[in-house]
This record gives sequence, structure tokens and C-alpha cells, in this order.
Amino acid sequence: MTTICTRSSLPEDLVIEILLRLPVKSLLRFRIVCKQWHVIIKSPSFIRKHVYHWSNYTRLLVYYHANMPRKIPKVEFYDFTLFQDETLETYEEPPNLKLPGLIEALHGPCNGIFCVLSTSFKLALWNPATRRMRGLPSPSKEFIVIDEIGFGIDPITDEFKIVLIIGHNCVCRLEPFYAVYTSSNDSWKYYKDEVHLNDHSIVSRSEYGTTFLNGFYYWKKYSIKTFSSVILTFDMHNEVFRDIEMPEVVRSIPDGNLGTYNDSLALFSYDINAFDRRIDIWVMKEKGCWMNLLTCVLPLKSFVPLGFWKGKQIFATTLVNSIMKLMMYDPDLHNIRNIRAEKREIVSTLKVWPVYYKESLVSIETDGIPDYDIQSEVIRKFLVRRWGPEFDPE
Amino acid sequence: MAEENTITLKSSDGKEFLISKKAATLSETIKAMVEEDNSSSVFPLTVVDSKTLADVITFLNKHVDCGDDDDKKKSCDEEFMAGKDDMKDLFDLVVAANYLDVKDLLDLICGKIADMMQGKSPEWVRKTFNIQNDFSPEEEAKVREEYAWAHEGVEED
Repeated sequence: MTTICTRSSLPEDLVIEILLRLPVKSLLRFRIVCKQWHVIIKSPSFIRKHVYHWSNYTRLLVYYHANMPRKIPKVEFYDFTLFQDETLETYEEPPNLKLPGLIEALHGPCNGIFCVLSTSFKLALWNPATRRMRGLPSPSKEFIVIDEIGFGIDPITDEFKIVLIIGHNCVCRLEPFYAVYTSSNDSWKYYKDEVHLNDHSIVSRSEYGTTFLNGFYYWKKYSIKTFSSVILTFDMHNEVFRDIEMPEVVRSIPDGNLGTYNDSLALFSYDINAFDRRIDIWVMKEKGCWMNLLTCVLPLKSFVPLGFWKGKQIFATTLVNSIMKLMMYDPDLHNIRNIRAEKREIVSTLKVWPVYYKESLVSIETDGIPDYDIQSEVIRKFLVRRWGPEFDPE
Repeated sequence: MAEENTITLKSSDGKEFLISKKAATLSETIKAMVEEDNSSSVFPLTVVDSKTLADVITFLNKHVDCGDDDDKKKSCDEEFMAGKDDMKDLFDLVVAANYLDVKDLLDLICGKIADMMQGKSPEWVRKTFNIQNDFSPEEEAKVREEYAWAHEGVEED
């Protein structure tokens, strides 16, 4: 083993073992300790190990999106809170989780990276832990009517990919075109698929949270021709769509959404209009092979299940006086807990979006295309919202 | 029978420690030594001094007593780590844990060292790890500038 640092009392493999247990901010600071440490902390193999290291634990990140009227300029209508541990008792609002521009939607995270869609319909990759962002080239102009976004990692090449599905103007149906962005060459490719994407299909992703798992992105697709649902999946490596059968008993139910359960796809199936508020939760063990995880009765009327936390506790949103609240429901104990995270009073209805977040050093720059500090002028300009003249705050 | 179930570990400074085979073989390195040489009962560990070896043996004995009880292991580990905040001793222990291939001990000590490093300055790290800064002042300033915010809120040395 070569030790570049003179007189270092620890061999390099032990230095790495110790560094793997440090948070991102400390690692970024310790890059200046010596050249050897700089090289270690920058190396892709270290970064990869750090993301998956057991000490880098998953935390709950909640993203609030207020549906403020667009007329009001300068309304900060997004907010993040990060829970400190799995008890979900205390949370913080880290300064690194602030975006300089207004955002329409967030996708991910994947290895600590988010895909941001700004209100001016620009896409960017964002690493909140390193506070870096990179604006992406816009796809061709027909992709302005984006119906769905899938964000994930190609498991073979390890690159970030984004898939966009075009929607019909006005109606929520699909056009047979899709575009795929690849981070390493920073460009878009265009495809057509009339089999899986067609105008009698309505796609709904898990409205909140990511349903990217092991190289595949998942949506629920309902056909208004056959009145039945399938799972639409996008293979991030081969860049193709496929349909996966759903459990037969819930195929004809149009409502419901997707989430994850212990690294498997979970299907929350319920009929909004049904009197009994029954919900069937299925977990996909392998492609098309489903297991009924549990069936329960939703405790509240406007309860929308989104995912799981530590075992079988179900996250859900519910409307209380037209404000969206985040709840946790334990189906075994039948108790509901309000997850308090909003600091300020918000008058408007919110979207509440809980995700599992792990901080990472993963870089979003690519050959010749740098990333920038989130507070930089470059990023502010990129994300800035196109105000109509009547609403221009200046 | 008793003799068959115990072995002697000899530290670099020549001190001998009697330990049960069951505890000793929690170390993958010792396990391999014992499997290779069944007839010996004394195993010299040329890179571990007696002070560190005594600590390692305490740890191994505690872990054998805990069995598979993770809660018990956790409280044992807390007890074991109490008062261990001298970086020199921690470095000796981590090197020994690595050489003897005791994963639980390696995890424990690495975690402790990492906890102590959080919030500290790069200068503190250089001093503690005995590392010479090989950046030129210009290079260092450039690397520091890339993530200047990461240097805010650092503890005084």
C-alpha cells in the first residue's frame, strides 16, 4: 500500500473506513487535509460506498408544496423539513434544502440526487447535500406538455436518466412519444411506442414520492377502453416500456397509487367512492408476482396512502380544514399519528410529499459541463420564473 | 479439556494472555491461525502491543458473553467505549481490529473516531492524524473555495 501523506499514522484502507462514516459537510471540509484525502473523497468508488454505507441512514424528508394562486408574486410556496431520526419527533429545516427559484415538481431522490422541474419548465439535477445544481438542456418543444417524469439511474452504466412522456393537450391521455435524457452525454433521445403509450391510457405515478427501484421506474396505468389497470414500467438501461399485470382482484379499480415497501413495489388499491373505505395493499415480489401484504379500512375519509415507514406503518395525507396534513397510520394498532412538520401557518391547500432521503457526495457535473452552487447567479437565472408582464414583481 | 478450549496470545512486547478459543476466534485472523496450526497453543501477534491486546481481549470476551443479543452487545459496547477518547489509543485499537479482522470492533472504533472528527477543522485533523499538508497555499485556497460553506461553523481547535 502506498501512503502519499507523509508520516500518516494510519494506513489508507483504515482512513477510508473512518471517512465512510462522516457526513457530507465534514467530508467536503476535509478535502483540504492533504492530497491523498482529496483524492479519496473525490473518487467514484468512495462516493458509491459512502451512499450505501449503513451509517448513512435513511431519513424522512417532507416536501410541502402550497397551491398558491399564481398571481401573487414572490410567494415562497415550497418548504422542506428533514426529520432527525426514525422516531419522527424532531425535524430541522436545513439551509441547504432551499432553492433559489420556484419549482413545479421534484422527482427522486436517487442516491441523494433530485430532478427539479422549475415553474418555467426547465429541468435540473440537484444535490442538496453538496448544494450543487446543474441545469439540463430542454427537450424538443413538443415535450412542453409533459404528462409524466420518471427519474432514476441506469444500473449498468450508473448514469442518471430522465424519461418524459408526452400528454395530450387538455386531456390526461398519453401520446405515443417519449424522450430520454442521459446525464453522461447531457442530451435527449426521442422514441415512439404505440403499444404501451396510447390515448386510451391514463398514467398515474404514485402522486408523491418516487417509484424507482433497481433500474426500473413504475406507474399505474388505467385504460379507459378496457377499464382495467396494469403497471407500466420503464427499463432505465434498455430505455423501453413494458406492462406488468396487476393482481386480478384489483385490476378493475381505477383509483389507487404506488409506493415502496422494503425495496419492493407496493400497490395501494382502493376505491375512492366505495362506502367501506377498504384498502388492499399488494407487494410485487418479482415481475408480475404479487403478494397481498395487508387489507385494512382507511381510518379517515380523505386518507391517501403514500408509503411505508419502518415496517408496516403507513404514511398518508389527509385533508383537515382544506389543509393537507401528513399522518401515519398503524394498521395493527389502529392508531393515527399526526406528523407535525410545518412551522408556519399556511392558508392554502398543500401537497405533502414524504420521501426517503440519504445524503450523498454524488457529483452531477459531467465532462465539460460544470455544476454550480445553488446560490449562484447562474442557477438563479436558470430557475427564474417567467413572470407575465402583469405580474412582474420588478 | 480446559486446555483444549483456551489458547495463549502473545503481544509484540512479549506478554501472554490466556483467552477462550471461542472468544479468540471472533477474530478472523486468529481463527485462520488456529485452523492452520491445530497443535500450537501459543500464537504470537507481532503487531499488537500488550496494552491494546488487553483491550481487544476485553472486547472479545464481552462479545462472546453477549451471544446474539444485539441489545446486550450495544450496552456492552457503550461500557467498553466509556472513557476511550485518546486518539492515540483509538488508532492503536483500530489498527489491531483491522489486523485481527474483528468487524464489530473495527466498526465501533471507526465510528468513534468519525464522531470525534465531526465539526472539527482540517488543521485539527492534520495534527491528530499526524498528516503533513502537501498542498501549496494556492492549491489549498482553491480546494477550500469550492465548498467554502463547509468550513463555516467549525469548532475552535
